[in-house]
Amino acid sequence: METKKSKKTTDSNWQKAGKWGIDLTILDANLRKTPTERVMTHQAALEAFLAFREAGNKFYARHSKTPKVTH
Amino acid sequence: MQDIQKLLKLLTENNVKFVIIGGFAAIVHGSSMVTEDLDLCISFSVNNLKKLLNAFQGINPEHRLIGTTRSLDPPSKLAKLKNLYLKTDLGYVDLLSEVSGVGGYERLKRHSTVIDLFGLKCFVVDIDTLIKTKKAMGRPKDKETILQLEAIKERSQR
Repeated sequence: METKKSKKTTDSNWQKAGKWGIDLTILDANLRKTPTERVMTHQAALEAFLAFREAGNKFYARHSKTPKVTH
Repeated sequence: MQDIQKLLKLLTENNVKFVIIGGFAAIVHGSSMVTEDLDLCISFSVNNLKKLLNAFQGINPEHRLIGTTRSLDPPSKLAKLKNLYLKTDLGYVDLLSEVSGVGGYERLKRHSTVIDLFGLKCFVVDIDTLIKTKKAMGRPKDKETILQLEAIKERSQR
């Protein structure tokens, strides 16, 4: 009589990262860039992040007593 | 304002001995995280600190302390410190004399790889050591970076 073997598969680290919520398309795009291009992409993201933070601080300074976010 | 290109240029032009570690090393390896400071492991020898101060003399380096800043001491005094957390005109720079689980600059250099950044040859901690040190620190905020680095490592080995 033939018995069916239960097939247990383990996730690869790539799959684990995806399941955790990491955007794999961004990682994949980064891996196609040179290290310098990766740093330049980061620079642009950081500038946007800082601009948003400053805008948020200005907004809350006008509308509430929420403390200013600093580094 | 973080200007990594100018910071690296100043450091290499002045022959400062350094290895890129932390978040920026993760970015160089392909991580999508965003970080505000440049973490470096450097030799805390008086000679290397002299070179560091020369490199940073035009960008107003100050100790970055909570709620206050103050200007830097001479290299002979700085050499007695373990770490330096600086604020400069080009961004925040954190300088560590050693990395837990690995050691000081010379030892870390052996666990690094030379990577071209903006045409400059820079020592960057290798991905295995970076994962190991981030795991050793056990900080919840590093969880995502570790997962990213392990995924990147796996994908790069295919």
